[in-house]
Amino acid sequence: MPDFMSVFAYFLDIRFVFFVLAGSLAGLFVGAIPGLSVSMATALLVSITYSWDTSSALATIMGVYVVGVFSGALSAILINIPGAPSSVVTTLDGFPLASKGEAYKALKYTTVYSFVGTVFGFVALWFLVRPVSMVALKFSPMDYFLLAFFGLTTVGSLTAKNFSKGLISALLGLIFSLVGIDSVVGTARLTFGLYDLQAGISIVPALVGLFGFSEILMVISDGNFDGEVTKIAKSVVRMKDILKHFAISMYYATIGTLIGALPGAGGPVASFIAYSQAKKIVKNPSVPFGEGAVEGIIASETANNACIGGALIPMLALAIPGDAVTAIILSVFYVHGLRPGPMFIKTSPDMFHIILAGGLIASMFLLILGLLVAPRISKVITVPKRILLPIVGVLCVIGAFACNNRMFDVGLMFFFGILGYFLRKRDYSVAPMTLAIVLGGMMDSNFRRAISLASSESHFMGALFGRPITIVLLILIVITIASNIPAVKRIFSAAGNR
Amino acid sequence: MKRTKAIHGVLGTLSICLLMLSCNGKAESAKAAPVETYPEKPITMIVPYGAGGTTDLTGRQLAIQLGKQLGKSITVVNQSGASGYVGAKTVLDAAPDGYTVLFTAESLGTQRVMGLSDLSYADFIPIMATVNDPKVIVVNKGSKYKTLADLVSDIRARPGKVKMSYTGPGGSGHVQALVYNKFGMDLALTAYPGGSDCLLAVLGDQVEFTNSNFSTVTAYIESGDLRLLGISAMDRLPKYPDVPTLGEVIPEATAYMSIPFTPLSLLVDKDVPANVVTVLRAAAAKAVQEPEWKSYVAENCLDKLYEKYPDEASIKSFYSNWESVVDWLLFDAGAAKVSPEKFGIPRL
Amino acid sequence: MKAHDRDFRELIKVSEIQEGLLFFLCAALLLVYSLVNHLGSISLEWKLSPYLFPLLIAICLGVLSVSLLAEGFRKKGTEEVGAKKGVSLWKRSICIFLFAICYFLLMNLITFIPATILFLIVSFLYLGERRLWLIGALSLSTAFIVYFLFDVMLHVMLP
Repeated sequence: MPDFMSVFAYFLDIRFVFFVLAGSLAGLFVGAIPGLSVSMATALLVSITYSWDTSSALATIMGVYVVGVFSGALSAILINIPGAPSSVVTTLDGFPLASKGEAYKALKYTTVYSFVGTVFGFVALWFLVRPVSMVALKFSPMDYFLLAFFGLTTVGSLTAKNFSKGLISALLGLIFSLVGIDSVVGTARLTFGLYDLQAGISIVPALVGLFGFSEILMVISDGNFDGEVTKIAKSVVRMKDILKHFAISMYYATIGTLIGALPGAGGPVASFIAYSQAKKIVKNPSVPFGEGAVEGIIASETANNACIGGALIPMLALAIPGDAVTAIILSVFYVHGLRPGPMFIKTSPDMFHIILAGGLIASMFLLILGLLVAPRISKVITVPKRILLPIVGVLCVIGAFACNNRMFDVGLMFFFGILGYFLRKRDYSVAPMTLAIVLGGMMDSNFRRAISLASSESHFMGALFGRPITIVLLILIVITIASNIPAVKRIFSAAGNR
Repeated sequence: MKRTKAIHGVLGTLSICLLMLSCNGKAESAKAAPVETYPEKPITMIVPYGAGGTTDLTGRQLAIQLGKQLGKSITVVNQSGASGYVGAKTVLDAAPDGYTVLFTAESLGTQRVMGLSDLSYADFIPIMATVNDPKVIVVNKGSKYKTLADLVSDIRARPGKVKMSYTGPGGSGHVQALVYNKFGMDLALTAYPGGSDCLLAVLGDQVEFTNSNFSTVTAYIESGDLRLLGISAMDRLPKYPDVPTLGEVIPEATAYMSIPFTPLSLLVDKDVPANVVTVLRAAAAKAVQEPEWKSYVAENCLDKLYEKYPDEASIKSFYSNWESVVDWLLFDAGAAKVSPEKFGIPRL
Repeated sequence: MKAHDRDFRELIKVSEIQEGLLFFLCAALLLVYSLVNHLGSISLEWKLSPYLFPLLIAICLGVLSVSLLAEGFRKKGTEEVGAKKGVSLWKRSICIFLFAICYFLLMNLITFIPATILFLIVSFLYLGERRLWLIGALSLSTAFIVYFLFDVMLHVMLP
């Protein structure tokens, strides 16, 4: 248990705070631009900061990490292009709200609840490292499969209008997720002989294409880009109203932290699941979900920021990275001659304190920067589309390229842009597709991994489903599907006679 | 109407200007690209695997030392995917000016036979065969196996039942499993996406044991969460002199232990000018003499390949020997899709 | 025969029918692909085969496409079909798409900054912006700011 004073001491260290601030500013920019990912920025920071002392390097990285995850929501809300996969859900309600001229309101809610989620995650990291990491260790491949499957059951809640169209979009996403070399037996699937497809379809170009580029095409073909400009509604967003949702946000934050602690799951899954929970729990949102409900923004943003603290848990407790960014933080330790591992918190408690302090200070900067930036940046929505769209176009191309320095990814981005355009023209939501691209590989490989593990056991089914976590997840899934039965019914009635 | 015309005129002039400008730029850069002054700008090092693994860590360590020698910073970029293909391809696609270098593990030697791509070591010029991270056999702290002999006899007693996690077909863990196979040890293999996932499977009791790179497990062995049973190399590790090598338990396996299973190499595109290669080689030779690098190598018990294979000829013969042994091993076991014969890799 | 023909033409106009047919085709192709590959090259059981998931997806997609088709048949004849109104300016979208492709190709030829400036100028003009000073300022500043941030600060290897 780290003592309070040694963490708090960093709050008074001007130099340390300054580095967090520098990182936060970088994170604000990196996170908001689609295609520039937080993991990319941190990977670069490792190269830049190796000659610094460890505390400054970590302070900067924590700033980028915390604020970068938050600022993915800025572009999601203002231009309907999520800055990162974990902000996809934020577009569902954030952009409709902004289109009504209430961008400021959306941004303010986002800021406050991103702050709440982050702080929750770090508090969990502070006090619950051991227990949470033990739970994460107990997750077997079967459990990962079930978790991903559980994530997919949220498709029903993402597509209120037409369930079967949502499912089709998700299935197409699943197909894309299977492209490339299969990690279990190493065969190349659906690559059509293209070596470039062997690495699979990376999520960033798909995301930039499906949301960003297709948005450009949509706006232009709708022809309302040079007409009226969204007016900013003059409304006061009171803190009292915002904090009304505090109690329920704790639930989303718990989901976020737990899912963040599972290596390989991460922000997108957490925000999707939190959103679907929100739809179940909140019976009477301010406006219906999908039309600009702040409740949806709260769920998504609390959960994806709570993932940060979660992802740090297995990294600090076991030296197992929870996501791409924590993998890079691990290499910071190595580059600075430290030895992460199961004893790390005991042998280098100061590193643990630095991470906690860095994260908490960064979350304060998140709040400050968010509140400062929100009123100014919300004017982006008033920029005429004929000016905005070409610039967004440049960012789409560069963003797709930048995520892996590959020209091929730009081609993929164009493909997904066209695909997204046609799907959206025909009322297919692209959000389920992104979810499926994220989850598909996880489902497929973990399912077969589980089978492969169980097949050498004498009790096949027992080995497959016998673990307590597996049973809990199975029950959860059954409940979810059962509660979705009206939606299932809808398919049947659509197919038959209504 | 007039307005539009004017705009078109402006557009036309602009584009012509831009074209001229860019042509100029191209020509100049082509002239100035080589070479006496290399390096003039920061260098990018591509690591074709994810961050945090042994290749990444060693690559970053080398980048720091190499950067000091060259007087320019070296940025490490992780480009994972398709067993190292994506990163290797990027290096080949970049201009062959020595500003993009590759730091990769052994997968380049098996790409062709595994049917992943047509890339091989022959597409690159070796700057340095850096180190080999020794393969070790580890089990969970609660495991019933106390010694390597326990494990070996149990695998032989229960063929196909003892579970091992590995990083997928063609990886160094797979090669290890095939070596075991040769000596009557039939394992239940389960593939995981990366080295740390393999460890997680052992820590979480999903599998009985794994073959890991030593540097990734040191912290767990020190903390007692994992138990080190054996070493897949010729010699015992200086840090753990009591732990036997595989060859001591299965004497017939010694022949296979002589090849390094995870050789890490610093490479550049084969079209890079010779004097750039010379500069890089000299810098790399100096970089590995730095005390920081030396302590990194000692701490992780890395095998210094640059001492065994000091020049280009010896590195190349090392690669071809390595390809012969490993590729045929993979092919004979039915794991490789394409015969090594097709690429003129002789059977040893 | 003629009536039949007209019937068919009417049917094909229903968007659900078009989509259903397309997805059914996808499902069928995927089904064939996974069956052929599994039976042809893999010596594993189905439960471990890498083609198990493609097969399952193909089946689900097939079922859903049939449900779409059914919905289309139901809609045919009702007035819902022709209800879609509003002229879609899809030609403009195609133009912008082509611009972007050209931009991408041009970038390889004439490096990043000139290509970006050119692309921005052309698309600003195309979308109806007429203030030349604004076009110039915006395209120049965007190109240079992006170049500075990505290439200089973030070491993205822009072409």
